[in-house]
Amino acid sequence: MKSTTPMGTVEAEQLKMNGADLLIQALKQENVEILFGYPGGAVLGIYDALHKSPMKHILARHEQGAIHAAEGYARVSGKPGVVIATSGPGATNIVTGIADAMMDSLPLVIFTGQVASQVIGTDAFQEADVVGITTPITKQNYQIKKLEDLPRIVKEAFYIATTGRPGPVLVDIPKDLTALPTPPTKQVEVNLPGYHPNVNPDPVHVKILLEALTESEKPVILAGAGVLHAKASEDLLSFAEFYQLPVVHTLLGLGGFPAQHPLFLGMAGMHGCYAANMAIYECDLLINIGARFDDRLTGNLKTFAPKAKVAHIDIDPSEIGKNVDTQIPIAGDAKAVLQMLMDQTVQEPDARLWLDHLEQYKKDYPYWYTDTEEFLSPQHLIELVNKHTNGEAIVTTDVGQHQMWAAQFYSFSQPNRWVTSGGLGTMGFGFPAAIGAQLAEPEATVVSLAGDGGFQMTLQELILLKEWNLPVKVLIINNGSLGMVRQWQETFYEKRFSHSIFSLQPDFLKLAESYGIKAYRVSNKDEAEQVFREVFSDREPVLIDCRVNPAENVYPMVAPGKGLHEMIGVKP
Amino acid sequence: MKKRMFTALVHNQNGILTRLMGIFTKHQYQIESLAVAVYPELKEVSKMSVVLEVEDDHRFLQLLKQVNKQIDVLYVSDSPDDHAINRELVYIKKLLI
Ligand SMILES: Cc1ncc(C[n+]2csc(CCOP(=O)(O)OP(=O)(O)O)c2C)c(N)n1
Ligand SMILES: [Mg+2]
Repeated sequence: MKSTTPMGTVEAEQLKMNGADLLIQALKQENVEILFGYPGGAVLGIYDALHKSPMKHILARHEQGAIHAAEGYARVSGKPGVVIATSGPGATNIVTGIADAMMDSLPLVIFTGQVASQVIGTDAFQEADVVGITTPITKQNYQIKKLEDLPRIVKEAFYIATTGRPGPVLVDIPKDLTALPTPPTKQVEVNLPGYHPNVNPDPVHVKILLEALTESEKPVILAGAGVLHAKASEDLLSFAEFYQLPVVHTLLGLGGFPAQHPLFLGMAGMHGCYAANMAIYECDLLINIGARFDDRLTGNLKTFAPKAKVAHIDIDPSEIGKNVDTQIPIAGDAKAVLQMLMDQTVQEPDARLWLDHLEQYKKDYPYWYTDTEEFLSPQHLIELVNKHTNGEAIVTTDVGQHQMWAAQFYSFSQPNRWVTSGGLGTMGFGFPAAIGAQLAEPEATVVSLAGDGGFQMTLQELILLKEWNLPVKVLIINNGSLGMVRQWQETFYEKRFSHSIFSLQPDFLKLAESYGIKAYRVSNKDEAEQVFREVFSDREPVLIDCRVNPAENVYPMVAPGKGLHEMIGVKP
Repeated sequence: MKKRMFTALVHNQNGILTRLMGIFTKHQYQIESLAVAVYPELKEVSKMSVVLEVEDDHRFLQLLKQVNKQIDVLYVSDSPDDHAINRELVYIKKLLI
């Protein structure tokens, strides 16, 4: 009787489950909609279970492509990116992406196959100690020892990846476990007695910050990616507007505060703008919200914000006081703290003179470049992209000069539109990240600003644009070189251009064609204008080989070892 | 240079020892002595005592914060005071039950 009832059928189905099915079931419970992966021997069982499942799986053409796509997806959607790779080489191929996600606090859950339990430790075929390799670059990692632990571990993995300061969590699954028959799962509970992601901000310190704010004559907010992770952009806007506080961003924070806003000074740091860096140098109160005082931001620490009282709001208490002495530490989620700050109002600081002063800097020393007739200047190119996308596109980059120009010349008006590799500085990140971003937001305009060097590291994913009908606009900022390396060699190594200029390049147009993607080459303003007008009004993938001035450098700049107030290449 | 000892209670799983050793290496500390033992009455928890040569208190504090931040670390104390640790153990027991 029982087996004929619908309930009975379900039970019978579930009784036929194996470890791999259990994994897929656990992923469903976490509301996973999309997987980025690549199969192989140790994950054959998992892929067999996937075959039966309607879950969307994006088959990248290299595991590195899969994980960067998952990062792009996570950055834009705020949801965890889920990756599957096989044991050994599959797992080692994702190491760069894991380290990248760790540095930039992106929530990823990664499943790697492992050789069968019985042969672990025997140097079996495609065995690598993936837990050992990834320990320093994961927020947490696991190897599943008993199948009964799988549902709990998967639950913990998602919980850890997405709470507190987000980060990558890896789960290594021996092949034999995926084949074991298993009864259906019961409800599972996480067992993490040492993990306390929800820090309650100390109201006393919040009050001290408000008091400092009232007394301040030269306050400034430094807003980092913590604002984005906390979805606190609007809270930041209210706070800044209420007290009329100028805002500077870190590289990763861009978009957290609207670029066009009169209170926005720009990006700070090595290639930040003069007004932002001088605001940090001259301020008497620096309110850091969700930034980790990275060395590319601070420049020489000895002269960093020398006159300032420093307040640091960070969800990760270990970041507070790490690099910069902090008088007002506030451990907590940016949104929670901003709301506490707005719960009570104090006398706003009298900072009119300060704002005028900064406004003058902004006017006098904006980002700048010299236009030549001969070449297309990369900065102008970014301005054109900005114009044709109304500053509303999702923009991804690789690492190097083009990344800095994008950060300088694209006006991000919304959060979670800027996808770049900040902490690890991973060439080859941008293009696959654009694929993940487009999958997260199918309706958005996604622009992949790729270096000609970086693009060649992960270009094999071009086929995905065709396969999944993703209208990503790939713009290769082609300066014929590893531009940022070339720039440093020009500036700090007396122009000894050691292995930084490409003597030979592929024909990117033919390359695109072979993937079935239309392609253009632009070498001057008019061509760029014309092609952009066309490609930004359709929903097709495209590759544009943008031949830009090969001698252009990124300015202004804080040279290594110098302070933020010692910028070179400021607009004369 | 002075010697400092700290004690950590760790949730005994997922290669937590390797994870912590990695942190010492990353922060360029050399370990003088290391003792790790499972609590007989609480198999899930190990107690770990580490003696290090410490030059700079700020850097040592950063190390402790990094250790404390690990998911499987329940408690860190740089006090060699046994009473304090025992008090904590009772607290941890409560957490685990
Ligand atoms: C994987 C990786 N290898 C090396 C580097 C060092 N690096 C930083 S920028 C850069 C040049 C990048 O060249 P390209 O992608 O053409 O960008 P451009 O600077 O020319 O805009 C290099 C080699 C890196 N960041 N990542
Ligand atoms: Mg280049």
